[in-house]
Amino acid sequence: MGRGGCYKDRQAGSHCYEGMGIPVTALPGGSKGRDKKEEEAILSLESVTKSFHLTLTRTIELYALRDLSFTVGRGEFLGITGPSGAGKSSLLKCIYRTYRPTCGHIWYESARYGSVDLACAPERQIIHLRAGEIGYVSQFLKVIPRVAAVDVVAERLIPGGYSWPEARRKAIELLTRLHIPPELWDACPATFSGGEQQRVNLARAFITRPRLLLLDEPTASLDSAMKGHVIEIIKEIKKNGTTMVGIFHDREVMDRVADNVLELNIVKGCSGSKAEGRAAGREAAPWPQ
Amino acid sequence: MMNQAGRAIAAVSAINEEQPLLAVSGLGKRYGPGCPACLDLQGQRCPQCGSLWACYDISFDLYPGEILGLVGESGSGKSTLLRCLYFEEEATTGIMTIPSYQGGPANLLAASAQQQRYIRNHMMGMVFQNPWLGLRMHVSGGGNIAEKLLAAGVYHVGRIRTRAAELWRQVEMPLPRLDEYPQNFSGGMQQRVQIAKALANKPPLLLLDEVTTGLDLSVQARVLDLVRQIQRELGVAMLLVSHDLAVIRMLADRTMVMHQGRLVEQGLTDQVLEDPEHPYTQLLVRSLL
Repeated sequence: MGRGGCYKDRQAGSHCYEGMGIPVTALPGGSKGRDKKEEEAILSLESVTKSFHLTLTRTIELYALRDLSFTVGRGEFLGITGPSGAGKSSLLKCIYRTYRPTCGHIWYESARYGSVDLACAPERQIIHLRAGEIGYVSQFLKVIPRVAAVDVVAERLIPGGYSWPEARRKAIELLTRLHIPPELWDACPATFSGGEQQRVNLARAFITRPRLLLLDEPTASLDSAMKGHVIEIIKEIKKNGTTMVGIFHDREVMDRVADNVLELNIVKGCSGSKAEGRAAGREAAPWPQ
Repeated sequence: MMNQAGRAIAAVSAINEEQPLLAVSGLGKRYGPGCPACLDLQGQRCPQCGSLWACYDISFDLYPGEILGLVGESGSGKSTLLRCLYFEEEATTGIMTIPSYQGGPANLLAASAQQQRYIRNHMMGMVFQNPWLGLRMHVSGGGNIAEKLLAAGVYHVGRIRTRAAELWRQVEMPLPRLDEYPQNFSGGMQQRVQIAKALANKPPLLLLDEVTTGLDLSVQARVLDLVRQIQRELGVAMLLVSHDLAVIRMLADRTMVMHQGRLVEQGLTDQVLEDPEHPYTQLLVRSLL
């Protein structure tokens, strides 16, 4: 396994707020100990805190997430909502390990590895999980230019052992379902409209049929007809057993797909913070029904 | 075409039996006499004996088929590290092993010159930043490739000729120019001939030192596409040195950051670029985006 293993050892005590943060109230699934947690939970966050230690101008400690705990059941769709700056994207990035959580645990029940703490799993393990189990749809498509749309989607299947013709066939199938016209299949997504790019982005994540899919405002740049198609596919993937965590600003879309909703709030003037600059804690509360 | 079961078995064995292709620990390169104070050095230059450490305590693993990025400012020791790994320079300290070679013998850095030559000729290829270091400018392009093949124990002239033409096509060089001197080629073409030469012995490991620096944009793009294609189709592991973060973002799975002769950070490429922890990495990322 990768050298260094859990990097938290060297960070211990630096700016960890474990156990002294804001109490978390009424979480979907509740905040439970690792051993006691439900059999069905596939993702379980325990006191996750993410702070950024910025040294560029002057030393600033920024908190994106503070002491956040919740669980997501197998096959469940957890919607995340909250005002801008509440740490919604940071939360998804922590689960995907684009951000390294400062402290806390993110337990994921992997098909290949069993229980994995995504907060400190070896990087090679994360790479394998990203290739086969965990998908992420960003707000915008970021791909290498000069690569045809069909290959952008098909290449996701190559690490899983698919041949190129087979992968391309599956990619075309999915692009058709997402209403990308055939004349665009061999063009580069960089030249596409915003909505078309976003559908290619979704196809890239959907094609591997991940066990856990993280969605960061996947329908933001789509018109209502396209939203319908995307929701349809999300529901179909969910029926196949994929667990999803998604950020939506659109309440209507959220209501159509989400089983549970987690609301992140910016809590001002929280106690116990010695950070300079903007100090904001987060609190989780259920969506008002 | 692999069937479902074969695919599953391949995927499982790839993960469970993953061992590094190349393991390096505590590698250091000293210019100067050295003294006991060098053992516990803070900066790059020893205050006692005045020795300069171009690399200090470098440890990392490189896995089969992955692209590992290495970034850092000029003078941070990137090229020195690569030259030590390619046995062009003698490392002062450290251990380097290739576990798949003879069941993973002791330290290759301390192996005999003959053994090092064997490793270099059979398991490594290197592309230098300066084509004059990697190519014999007064020997034909085909002759340059033949040199590498002869070193790897291929003596059949017909077979050398066929392989050279095959590589020439692979790097998209015009076949009629196979017998021309590399000094007549443009910078981009020289880089492609270097890549062809490095690939001649079908090495599992390729060391790339700033392959695109100094090339114009469209040529850069074609060389990068070539690198991507080689990794995808031949599954060659690469250590990719670059100071261009766009190149790293596009190609590398994992990235290491060097600063003043030391590795100051390593992680998943997106994590290093989006959530840099070391002050130097923060400066680097903010400088170039």
